[in-house]
Amino acid sequence: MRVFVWTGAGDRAGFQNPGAIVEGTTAAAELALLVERLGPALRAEQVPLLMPPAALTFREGLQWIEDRTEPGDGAIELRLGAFARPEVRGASAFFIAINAERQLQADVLLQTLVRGVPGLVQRGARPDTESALGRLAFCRDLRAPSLSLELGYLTNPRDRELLQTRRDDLAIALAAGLRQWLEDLTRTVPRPAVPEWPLIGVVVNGQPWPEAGLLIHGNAYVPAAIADRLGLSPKRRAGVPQWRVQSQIYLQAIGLRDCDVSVSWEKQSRTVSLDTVATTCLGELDRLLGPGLSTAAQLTAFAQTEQPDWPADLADRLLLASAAVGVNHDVVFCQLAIDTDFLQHSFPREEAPFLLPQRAQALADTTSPFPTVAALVPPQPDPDYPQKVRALLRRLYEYLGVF
Amino acid sequence: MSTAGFYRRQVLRAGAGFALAAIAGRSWQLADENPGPIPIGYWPSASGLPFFWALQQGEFARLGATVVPVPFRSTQAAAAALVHGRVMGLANTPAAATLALLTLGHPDLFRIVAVLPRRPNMVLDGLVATTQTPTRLGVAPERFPWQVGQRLFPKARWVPLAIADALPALQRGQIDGFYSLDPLATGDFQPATTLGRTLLPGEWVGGMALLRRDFCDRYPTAAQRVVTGFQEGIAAVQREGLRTLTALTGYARSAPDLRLTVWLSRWQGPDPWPAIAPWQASGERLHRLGILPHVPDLYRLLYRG
Repeated sequence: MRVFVWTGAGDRAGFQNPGAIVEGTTAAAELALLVERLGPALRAEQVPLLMPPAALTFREGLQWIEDRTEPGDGAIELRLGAFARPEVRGASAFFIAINAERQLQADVLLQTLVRGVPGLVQRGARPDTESALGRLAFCRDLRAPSLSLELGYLTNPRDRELLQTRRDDLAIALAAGLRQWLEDLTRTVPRPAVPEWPLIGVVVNGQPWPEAGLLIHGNAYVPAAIADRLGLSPKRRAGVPQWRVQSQIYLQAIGLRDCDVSVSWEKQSRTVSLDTVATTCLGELDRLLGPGLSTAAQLTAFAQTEQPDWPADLADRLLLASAAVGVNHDVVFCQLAIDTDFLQHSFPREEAPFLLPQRAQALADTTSPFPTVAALVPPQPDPDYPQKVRALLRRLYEYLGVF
Repeated sequence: MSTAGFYRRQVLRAGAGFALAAIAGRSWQLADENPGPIPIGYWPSASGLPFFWALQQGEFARLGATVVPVPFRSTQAAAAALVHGRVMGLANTPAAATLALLTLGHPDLFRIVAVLPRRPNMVLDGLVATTQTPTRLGVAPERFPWQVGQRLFPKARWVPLAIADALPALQRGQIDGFYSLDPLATGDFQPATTLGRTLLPGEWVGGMALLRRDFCDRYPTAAQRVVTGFQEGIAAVQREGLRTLTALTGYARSAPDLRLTVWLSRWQGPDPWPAIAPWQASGERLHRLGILPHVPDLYRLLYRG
């Protein structure tokens, strides 16, 4: 029963990525001070702490953990958030989507943390599909049960004050929460030499699959042969985490979501359902040209779940501007939301009648013959930009029930 | 009482018992086979005429099946409803949806109840164009029309457009042509501007009526009733031609057209199934062209009661 703690990524030169920089401090510095206190607190709870060397890159860090994982271990990523609006605050625990067991554990960990540090606000346990890129590698790509814990927002003065003045309380509460979590994992993880993972049902496009899947650490895994049925090329499914049980290979079900497969979990019958209706019928959902799938009312309702002040008339203007030049209004919307943090900055609302056609025209000018969001040019250098737009588009389509 | 008489009575009693058990068993099966209302999806297009006729004439109700028609306007919505079991069948799938369903339904999601071989102008698909050498082509923003269209016109510059916007865009000169697997909003292609182009110069399933396989297995009698009702509709369209077009009212819009009824009268199945070898060959060809990811096994998919 050990815990791996990951606090950030460095590079081979030993440079530590500082993360957000606010008021003379950085996320990396704050987390380092917290971990200094977390070590003794975990020792008091009799939980061994393992930390990958700081100079490792994120991928190397994951591999470091992977190489040392034993049954009963858990891994946690500690992060601090930053946002354009300083009033945004609170702690969140991200878990791998459609894992009810991990969701409950994330929730319990947050409760322990909030109880131990009065004044800390919790934003709840959230599936990693709600993160900016639509997936968190730390939650998805490790064999060990893992959580990504956002302890608060460095940009919020109250959270910052708590982080700086209540480090001991935070470390003690976190250590208690981690011990509780690891105990829970030890109870639920089978320990024989060849673990006997619980079997689950698998349904593919409405048809029962003849072989059972497995529930491994609460994550649904499906037989790898399903990828052929779904027409996923080996290249496309290369990034999907696998688990080998004897000679059989299983694919992580939620990992297939990155290949545009819709994944859902039916708790009662313990069945994972995979379907590809949307992509089979509609093709590339992130195409830049042609009509979008949402209505103005749907766009407004979705935007208001993120930003209650989103103006009601903006979606109509956006649809008109997009239709005038033949571009996909859903992409224009997602790009606008990403670029402005849902209109928090860089978008003077009174200039919407001019800015929206400009944005639509910029998409229309993309030269590729059948362009998708991969061809988008970010307003500022950001290699993840297309993936961020695509992740938000995917969330919009999940909200609309297209996926 | 003689021993022989005793045994005779025992045998008779056992026989009566078996008979009663058989009757009870059958009635239990019938009582158990109560699917309630049976939702069947349809496209609001003329190709659903046999279904609409059977509904209008009360054929399903007469046979003891409570069929509830559910309209769909997009391939995706209809396919999702079928895959997730919100409808038990579809009455008329156009060509693009047929390709999607043969992909999604592989290997065993549904049974084909009837097929509509191809369009009256003898092509599965079509191109409406304002010039003989179109370069800017519109296409529905769906996977199969674009995939097939790309094979036919590899050098075209494609403009995804809703089908409803195709003719206005042509008239405004935004595109030179529109390639479609399904009829345009006018209900038919205009012959003066149609260039027949097809990947499949033989017989092919241009549309189909189908039922979910698990519904057929779970409720064989109810499935048979739905199929018989559909058959009655097909027979009426073949027998009465133009007169049946009145059944489109409330379901689809179409002008009374002799050519349309000639086409619609070609609905076939399931008893007897015509030779399906050419369709199977077309399915295999679509697979070889990379349009269908799997070879559809039409022999297996046909409804056989």
